[in-house]
Amino acid sequence: MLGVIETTIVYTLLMGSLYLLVAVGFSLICGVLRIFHLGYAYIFVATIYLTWMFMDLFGWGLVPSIAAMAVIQAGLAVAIYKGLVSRYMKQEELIITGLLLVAIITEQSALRWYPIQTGVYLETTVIPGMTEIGATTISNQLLFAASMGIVVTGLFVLFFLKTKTGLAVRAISYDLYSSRVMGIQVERLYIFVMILVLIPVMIATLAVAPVWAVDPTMGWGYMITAILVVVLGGLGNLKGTIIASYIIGFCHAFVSFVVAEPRFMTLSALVVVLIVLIVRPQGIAKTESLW
Amino acid sequence: MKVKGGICCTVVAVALIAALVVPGCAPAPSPEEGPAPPAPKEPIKIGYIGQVASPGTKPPIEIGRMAIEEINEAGGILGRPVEYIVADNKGETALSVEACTRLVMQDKVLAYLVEGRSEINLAVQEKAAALFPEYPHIAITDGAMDRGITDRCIDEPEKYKFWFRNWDPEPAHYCWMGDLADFWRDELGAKNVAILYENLAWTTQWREGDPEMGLPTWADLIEQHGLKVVYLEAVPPRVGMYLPILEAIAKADADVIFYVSSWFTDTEVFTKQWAESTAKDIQPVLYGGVGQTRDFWPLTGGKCLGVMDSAGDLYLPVNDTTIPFLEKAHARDLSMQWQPHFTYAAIHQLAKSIEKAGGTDDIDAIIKAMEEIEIPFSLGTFSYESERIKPFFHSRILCDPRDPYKAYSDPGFAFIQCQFQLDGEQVPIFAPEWSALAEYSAPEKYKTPAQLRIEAGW
Repeated sequence: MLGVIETTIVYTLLMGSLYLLVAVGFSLICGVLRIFHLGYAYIFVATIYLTWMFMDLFGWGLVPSIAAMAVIQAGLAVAIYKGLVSRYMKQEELIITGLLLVAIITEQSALRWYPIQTGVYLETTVIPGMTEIGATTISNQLLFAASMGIVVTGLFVLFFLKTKTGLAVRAISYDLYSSRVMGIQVERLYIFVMILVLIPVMIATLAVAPVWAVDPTMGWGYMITAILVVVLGGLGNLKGTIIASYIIGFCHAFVSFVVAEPRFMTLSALVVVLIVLIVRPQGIAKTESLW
Repeated sequence: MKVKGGICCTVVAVALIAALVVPGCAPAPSPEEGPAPPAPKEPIKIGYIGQVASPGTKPPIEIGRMAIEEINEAGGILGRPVEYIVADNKGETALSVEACTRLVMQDKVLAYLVEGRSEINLAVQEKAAALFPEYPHIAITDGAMDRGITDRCIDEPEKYKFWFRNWDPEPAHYCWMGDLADFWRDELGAKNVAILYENLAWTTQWREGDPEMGLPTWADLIEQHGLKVVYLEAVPPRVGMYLPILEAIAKADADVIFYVSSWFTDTEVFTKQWAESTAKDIQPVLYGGVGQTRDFWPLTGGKCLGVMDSAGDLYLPVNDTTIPFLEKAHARDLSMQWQPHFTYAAIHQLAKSIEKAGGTDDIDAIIKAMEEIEIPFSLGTFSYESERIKPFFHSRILCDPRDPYKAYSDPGFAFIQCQFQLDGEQVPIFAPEWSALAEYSAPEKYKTPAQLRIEAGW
C-alpha cells in the first residue's frame, strides 16, 4: 500500500509538472489577450516539424535547427497576431476560426511533407538513464521535463511579480482600458506575450519528444490537456493553472495506480473538471486576472 | 471592292469547310490501306475507400495503384484498361459510406476495397448491400478482422454474396497463437505474460473468447500452454501514457509483454516509453502495425531495440514474387506491413477472376471465379475460402475452417517473428513449422533487450 501511495505521489508531481509546462502558455493567452486560443495545437507540431525540416533539408545539427525553429515560430506568432488577432480583436468568432485554421494547416502541412512513416524523431534526451524514487523508477528525461515545468513556471511568476514589464502585462489582464490610459504599450505587450507563450510549449514538446507520440496530429492531445487545466484553474489565472495542473496530475495518477485502471485517466479528469465547474463555474481561481 | 472582298471571304470559308468535312466523308479504306482504329474500350473501374493521409492506409492505397498500373501495362483486363479511383474517407465512417455511394452510383466502379477498420467496413457493407441489386459490384474488406463482416455472407447470402475479405477473421489467428506461446515458454524461458489489447472491435473475440466456436480467450489459451497471465488490460487507442501500465507490468513480474495493437502512434509511443521504464528489460512482442516495417526503427529513434513483431519488409523469398514485389514497393518508398501485400494480391486475383468470368457483365460469374482462383503472392498463396463455414467463408485462406488451430502448410503463410537488433536490423527469430518461412526460423539468434543495449553501448 505504501508503495502505491509513493508511486501516486511521484506521478502526481511528474505529470502535474508536465501539464503545467503544456498549459501555462494557453493560460497566459487567455489571461492577457482574452482569447480562447483554439489554434494552440499548432505550436507543438511546428516545434517538432520545423526543427526536423532544418535537419532534413539543410543537414543542420539539432541545436541550430532548434534555434532556427524558434526564430520562425516567433515570426509566425507575430504574423498571427498582426494578421489575425489584432485585426479582428472585437470579432472573437473570426479569431477563433482563424486560429483553428492555422492549427489545421500546420497539421496538414506536416502530414503532407513528413507523414509518420518518414520516421521523424528528435534526439532531445538531455539526461539519459533512469532514477529510482522509492518504489518507482522514472526516466531521467521525464524528470528533466517535469523540472523544467516547475522552473519555467517559477520564472514566469517571478517575471510577472517582480519586473516592470510583467507588471504591465498583469495590468493589461486586470483592466485593459486603464492600462491604455496609463500609457502602457498594449500592442507591443500583446506581441510580447504571443512570443513568450512559445517558450514553455517548445520546451515541453522537445523534452517529451523522445518518450511521447511524434506525429502531425500530436498537437490536439496537448491542447485538450491545456484546455482542461486552464478551464479548471480559471481562465487566464496562473495560480489557478498551477493548482489545476497538479489536480489533473493527481487524477491521472490516482486512477492509474490506486484504482489501477489507466484507461480511465482522461475520463477521470473530465469528470473532475465537470464537478468543479458545476460547483464553481469560474474555476479554482478567485479572479479573472493573471495572478 | 466591298462586294469582291465578301465573295473572296465566302470562297475561302467554303474551301476551309470542304477541307475539314470532305475527308470525313471518304469511303472506308480498302484492305490495302489498313483497318480503321478500334473504338476505345470502356475502362474497368476499381476503387479504394481509405484515409489518404494515414500512414496505415496510404501504403495499401499506393500498392493498389501499383497493381493497377501493372495490369494496364500488361494490356488491362480482357483488353480493357483499368481505372483506379481513390475515395478519401478521412478515417470517418460516415464519409466511408458516402464514398461507397459515390463510387458505386456515380463512378460506376465494378469493385472497390475498403480500408481495414472493422467499424467502417460494417457500416459500408450495409450501404453496399442496399445498392447491390441495382448496381451489382464486388467489395473487398482490406484488412479488417471483425468476424461479423463475413458471418453475414452466410447468414444472408443473397444480400452479401458480393463481399469478400482479403484478410483473416479473428478466429483464424488461433492457428499461430499457441505456437507463439510455446516459443515464449521454450525459447525465451518465459513464465509470466502481460497482455495489452487495443480496445477496438478487432480484438473482441480474443479478449472474450468465442463459446460458439469453442475458442477460449487468448489469456486462457496462453495459460493452456503453460504460461501465467500476470497482467491483462484493454487499452483505448491513442492513450498516450503507458508508464503507469508499464510500472504495473514490471511489478507483476512479467517476462513478456504482448501488446495486441496495430495503431501506428500507439506502438511507437508504447515502445519509446517501454525503453525508458521499469519494464525495459521485459520482452515486448507487438502484434502487427508499423512494428512490422523497417520504418519502426527511425520512428522510435532506435528505442525499439529488442522489440519483436512479425515482419512484412524482409527480403526473404517466400516464392518468386516476393523480392521483386518488395523492390518495387520500396522503390516507391512504401513501408510494407502485411496489409499492402494482401491489397496487391486481392487486386490481381480480382483481375484474374474477371478474365475467367469472361467480362464484367455477369457479377455472379465473377464471384464464382473469385471463390475458385488461387494465385501466388509475396507471402504465400492467395485465395478466398469457399467452404460455407462462419466466419471463414469469403475470407482469405489461412487455416482449416473446421479447426482454427490448424494452419495450412505446403505452402503455408509467411508468418515469422523478428526482433529489432543492432542498427535496426530485423532479425528473423521464430517461424512455426507450417510457415512458408520455417527454414529461416533461428531462435538461437534471439537476444534479450538488456543484452542488446549492452552491445549497442547504451
